[in-house]
Amino acid sequence: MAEGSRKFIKLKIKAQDDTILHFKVNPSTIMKDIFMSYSSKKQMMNYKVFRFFFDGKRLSPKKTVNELGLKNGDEIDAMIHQDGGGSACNY
Amino acid sequence: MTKTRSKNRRNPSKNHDLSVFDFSPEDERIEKSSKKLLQTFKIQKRNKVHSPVDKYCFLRCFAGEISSTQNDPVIEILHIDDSDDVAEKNILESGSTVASRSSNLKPSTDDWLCHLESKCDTSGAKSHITRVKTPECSITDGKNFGRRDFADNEPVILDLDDATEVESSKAPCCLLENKGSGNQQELMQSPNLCDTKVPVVVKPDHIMYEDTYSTSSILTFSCSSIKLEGSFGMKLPFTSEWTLCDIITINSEWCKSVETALVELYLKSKDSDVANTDNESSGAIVLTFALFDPDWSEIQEAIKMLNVRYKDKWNNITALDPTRSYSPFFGRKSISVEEHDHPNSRDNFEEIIFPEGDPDAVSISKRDVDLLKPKTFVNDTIIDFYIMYLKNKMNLEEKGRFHFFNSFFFRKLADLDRDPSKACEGRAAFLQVRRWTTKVNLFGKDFIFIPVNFSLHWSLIVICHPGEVVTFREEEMEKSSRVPCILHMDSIRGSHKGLKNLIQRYNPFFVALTHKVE
Repeated sequence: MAEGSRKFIKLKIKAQDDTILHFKVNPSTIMKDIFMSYSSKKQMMNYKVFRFFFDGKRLSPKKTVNELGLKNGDEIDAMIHQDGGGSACNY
Repeated sequence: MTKTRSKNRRNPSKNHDLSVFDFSPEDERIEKSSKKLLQTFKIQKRNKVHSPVDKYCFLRCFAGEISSTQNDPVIEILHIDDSDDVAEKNILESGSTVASRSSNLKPSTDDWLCHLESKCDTSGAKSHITRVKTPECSITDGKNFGRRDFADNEPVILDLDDATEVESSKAPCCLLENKGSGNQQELMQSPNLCDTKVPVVVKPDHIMYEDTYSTSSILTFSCSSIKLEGSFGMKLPFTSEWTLCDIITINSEWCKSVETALVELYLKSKDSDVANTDNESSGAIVLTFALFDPDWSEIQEAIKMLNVRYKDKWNNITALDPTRSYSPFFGRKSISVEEHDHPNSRDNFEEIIFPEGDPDAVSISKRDVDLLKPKTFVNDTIIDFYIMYLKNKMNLEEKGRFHFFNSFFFRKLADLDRDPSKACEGRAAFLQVRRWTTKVNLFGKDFIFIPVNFSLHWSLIVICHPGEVVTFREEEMEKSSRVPCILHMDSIRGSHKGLKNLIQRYNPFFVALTHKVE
């Protein structure tokens, strides 16, 4: 247990402009903590403006690094949320 | 490699042919006329409500007509058995009484009446074989009439639920007939009557049972038990059955605006021997389901008619009922609408993860749900959630035919955020998203759906039959039903015009993928 907690893995978070931030995390860290620290580095108050993906899969903020199966050196994509409308068909 | 290049050479001409799928004034005209057609349907459906009295008059005439036109067979039977004639008239009479009574019960559905009538006649015919002739005539007439009526008034497709629902109407019909004609009592009191009642099968959109939920389960209400079949969460297919004695309460709530019924079944748990009827929530299993069906009231009546016990335990409650602490639709993961959303307490509401346990799961929060209100923009979570929702409704075989990208795929692929001059290189864009599809063979799919978000607007790109690209020859274009092509569906025509070019420019993405598959 003590040994496990000492083991850190490195994660990269890549923004849409290709800038990469590196994070050193514990496998039992909850993703939300990583997201929050990323957001504060990006001067965002709320981590929910970002969506985080690994290989196209959404990362849940409630899970831990281990639960999501993230390995050392994995690259996470951070994307800003998307909003949009449609058009009601008024023929 | 040569193959790839030849494909590249072929592409421009293919793109040229794809102009077929662009909107043209011709298309607009067609769409307008189809819209008109649809509107006439709508109006017809709404005006469908006939007065039950009219119906009664009509049926009376109808029944009378039969007895006059079918005079010959009546006389034929007459000299076989005298007493049968009386009973025969009774049948006809009872037929019309049933119709009139049931029309009071459900005045809105015409075709129901016909079914009811024919059902009555069938039961009559079964018990008195000598009288087969006349009832049979009315059966066929009734059915023809029913079909005609259906075709005229009801452009609705009958699904499984409706069919069983109609069948189960046999029960109320029999009872009414009992009142109508006294001399058919012996038929009504036959001990195996219960078996003839057809169970009501409902396929709810959502079932919550214990801690899991299901979207593909079937609930069967029969006259002796309630049966639940389906697969729950990640567990194996599951079946459970409760006898009627296990029912503690049934709470049913009808949400008119969304035409959905929310039903809570309080059932005695099989493990606990002690019947704890005082407190509904303890020692009981709660099974809640939501069913979208505009005809819920009829299904409900049909279930109640199956057994008195259903009727006794059935409570119709309204959404405003103060005794209710939560909505059965969301179960314990309730999103309380009244809850005040303070900007600083953004984490105080619970999120729903759908589908639970899936790696592609989308978690949706109250904030996202709020975006469904009118005059707000829909965000990516809602779009992705809805895609997951639709995907979850398909069976496994169908799921294999489609691939849905999430709403960020296009953004990543098209690299909309970077300098447009740098983003032209398709290969680089492909590398961006290559890892997204490593486990999926895109060319084995029939359709690939890509939601597109650009300049505050959503549209959808569908890639059809990508697998055919390898073998497809243009001469076959007219013959083949599997034409590889890319469709762009945009509700504001032209707003995403630039992106269409982008997609075409990203054809190399597919060429590159073909390369990999080969």
